[in-house]
Amino acid sequence: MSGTDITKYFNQLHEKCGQILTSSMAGSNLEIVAGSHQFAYELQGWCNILDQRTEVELLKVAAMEYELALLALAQGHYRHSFKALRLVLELTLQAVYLSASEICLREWLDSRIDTIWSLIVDENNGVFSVRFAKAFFPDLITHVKHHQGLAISIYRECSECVHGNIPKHIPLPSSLDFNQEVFTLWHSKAEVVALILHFALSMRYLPDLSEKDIIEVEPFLTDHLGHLKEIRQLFGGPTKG
Amino acid sequence: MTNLIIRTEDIKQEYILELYVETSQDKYTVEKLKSQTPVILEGGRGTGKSFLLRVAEAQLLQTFQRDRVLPVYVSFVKSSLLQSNDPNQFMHWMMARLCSRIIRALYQKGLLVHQHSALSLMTGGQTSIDLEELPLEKVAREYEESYKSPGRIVNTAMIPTVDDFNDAIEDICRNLKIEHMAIFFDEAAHVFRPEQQRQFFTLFRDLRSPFLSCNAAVYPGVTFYGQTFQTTHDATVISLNRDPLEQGYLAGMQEIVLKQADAQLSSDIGRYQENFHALAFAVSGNPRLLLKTVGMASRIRSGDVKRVLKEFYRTDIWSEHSGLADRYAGHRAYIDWGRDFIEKTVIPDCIKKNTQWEQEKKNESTCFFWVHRDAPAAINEALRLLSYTGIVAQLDSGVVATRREIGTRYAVNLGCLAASSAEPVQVLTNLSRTLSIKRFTEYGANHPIFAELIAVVGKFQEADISEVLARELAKPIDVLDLTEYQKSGLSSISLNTVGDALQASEAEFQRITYVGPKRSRRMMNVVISSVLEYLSG
Repeated sequence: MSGTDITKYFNQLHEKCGQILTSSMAGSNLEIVAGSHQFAYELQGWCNILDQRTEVELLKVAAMEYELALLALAQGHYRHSFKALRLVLELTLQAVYLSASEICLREWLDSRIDTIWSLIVDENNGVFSVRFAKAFFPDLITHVKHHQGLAISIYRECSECVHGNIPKHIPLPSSLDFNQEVFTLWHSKAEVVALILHFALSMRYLPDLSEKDIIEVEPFLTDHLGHLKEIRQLFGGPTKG
Repeated sequence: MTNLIIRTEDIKQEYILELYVETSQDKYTVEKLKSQTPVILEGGRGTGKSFLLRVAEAQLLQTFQRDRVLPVYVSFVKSSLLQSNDPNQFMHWMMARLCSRIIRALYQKGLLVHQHSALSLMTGGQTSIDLEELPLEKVAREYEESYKSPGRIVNTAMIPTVDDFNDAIEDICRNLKIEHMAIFFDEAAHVFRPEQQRQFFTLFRDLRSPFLSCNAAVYPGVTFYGQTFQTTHDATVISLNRDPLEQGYLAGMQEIVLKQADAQLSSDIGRYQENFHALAFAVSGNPRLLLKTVGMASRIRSGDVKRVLKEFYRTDIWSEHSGLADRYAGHRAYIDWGRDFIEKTVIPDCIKKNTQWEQEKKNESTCFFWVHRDAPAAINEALRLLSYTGIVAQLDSGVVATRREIGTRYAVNLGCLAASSAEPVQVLTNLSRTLSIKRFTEYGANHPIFAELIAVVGKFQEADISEVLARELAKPIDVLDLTEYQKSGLSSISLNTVGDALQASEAEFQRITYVGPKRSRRMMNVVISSVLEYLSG
């Protein structure tokens, strides 16, 4: 294959991706993409208010990966979009987890320790443990178990796309074509990821935020977590029956 | 046992339509809310105002591609703490909040794109999209924070006028091919602050344009429309009274519960229909009370329901009403008199009539009463507060009674009426068969019972806003939901009142022994949220 041919070959693929992008943005899909895209800015919002903290570097990478995941999805790179979504979940929860241990955080940033998913979601010491909630936002203790379950399930589902094993949850197409079913599925998974991550970040940081910073996160946290009365109460919303 | 969700705020937006039971009345209300006509949705606590606003929003979101009507839901719940010498502050705060929600709705529909994204940094910060961010969000924050330092000057030169705003909305709609925006104001007038309520309705009227339709949920008991707003001209008022006598009422109420019920509860409801009907009838059309009382009645057996009817309608509902007096001390006399009026006059009068008619084998009963239109304003105020908690419902005005006198007709909550009976389920079942709206007790313009209230409050006067808030802020910190440690910490640095605590800086909190920057921040947040919780109730 000559240099010209390979350019042509990749241009063809690029054109195909362009066609898929058009389908991804057509009709009501546009709204779905826009809705999911919000989370990139919401993560950016967290980065802005946590700017002075060491772990913010992980969150910045997560915010960027999330946008790349959406780009991959829109162009039909479905497997990569789910892999990237898992990375966003892992990176953000890792940031929250390591924020509670400065030494581990510095070791991780220095590549001396690895990310171990089972530690992040560990029942006794992980992000969704009662211990963790008790230390940072005790009112949310009753909700940690539910979000831990969600995190474990969604991680497992997205992992199918990493390991390439027989799909149970995500039916990836075998060709480079637009696939409405997988496209819609990604957004529903992304919504769950957004919920889990906002919950984890809120549990870790919300009670410590200044009034000014609370006002910053309030609009999107009300949309994602406003159904939890403990969160609503912090924003001055009604809680009594 | 099923864990029933009783507040709309507890429901995630995507599940709203799943829980919606479309009765003909609610369908009409939702269609009106979605239309271009401005609607004021009036109803007591728990009648489903927020829920229907959310339903209208969800339906419009679903049909946006086709109809191009953009719904925007705005809650004004946090307004209770706004306090400033600037008379325009509340108006500007509302505008800022509205803008911020509109912008978010546009983002979520993909009609606008944010200026700064992580990816745009990757591409060297270059995007082909040139967007000017409205400065209103920032100003809203300024205002939201301003209650802590009343009197601080806010730079209002940055804030556009309502006309500028309407022009901007027109431009956005034309450019983005939006038919119009349907704005849903929730908690628009939720605290007893007449001045704020008037300002809200002035804004509501001024926002009228072909590109905006405003809708607001308000309480009947606490709403002051002001001089410039005329409800008949400026909006359609829909009263959210679900009539227990209407055909399909019980089926509709049952479906509301079944939407959330597990198998056990569903089967219990099927098995003990009469008991469930008594509960549904007792709530007099209030879905939140129904979900609450069904939740309390565990298996819906006779004993359970009897216990709940007695406990809830003889104690709980009244303690909630009397609790209002703790939060709004200026209204205490009205609240206490209202309770006495219903418990010691209206309910005994109804029971007396019903007993007599039963003995006479007449197929009639009543829960209705009528108050002369010339009754003192203080009486109307007391009745409005009773309708806020759902103990009475105002049905219609201009009702002709004896000697062609004209007045307003009310219904007293059926649960309250039946609760004093030894067999409340039986009483409610009978009421459901014999109630007649034509039968009501009349209370004339100068009924002796009215004199008791007038003797206490004199001529009705609105409470001064700043005075009401000042009184709340002067209360000791004990009224707040804080731990003993937090309270003693605050006392140790002489922060003794709600106002002291609210206006203290983080540095001041740090004067408490063992409190550093983190704990002070956390304590301050706890104090602020406790105050909000306490004031908004």
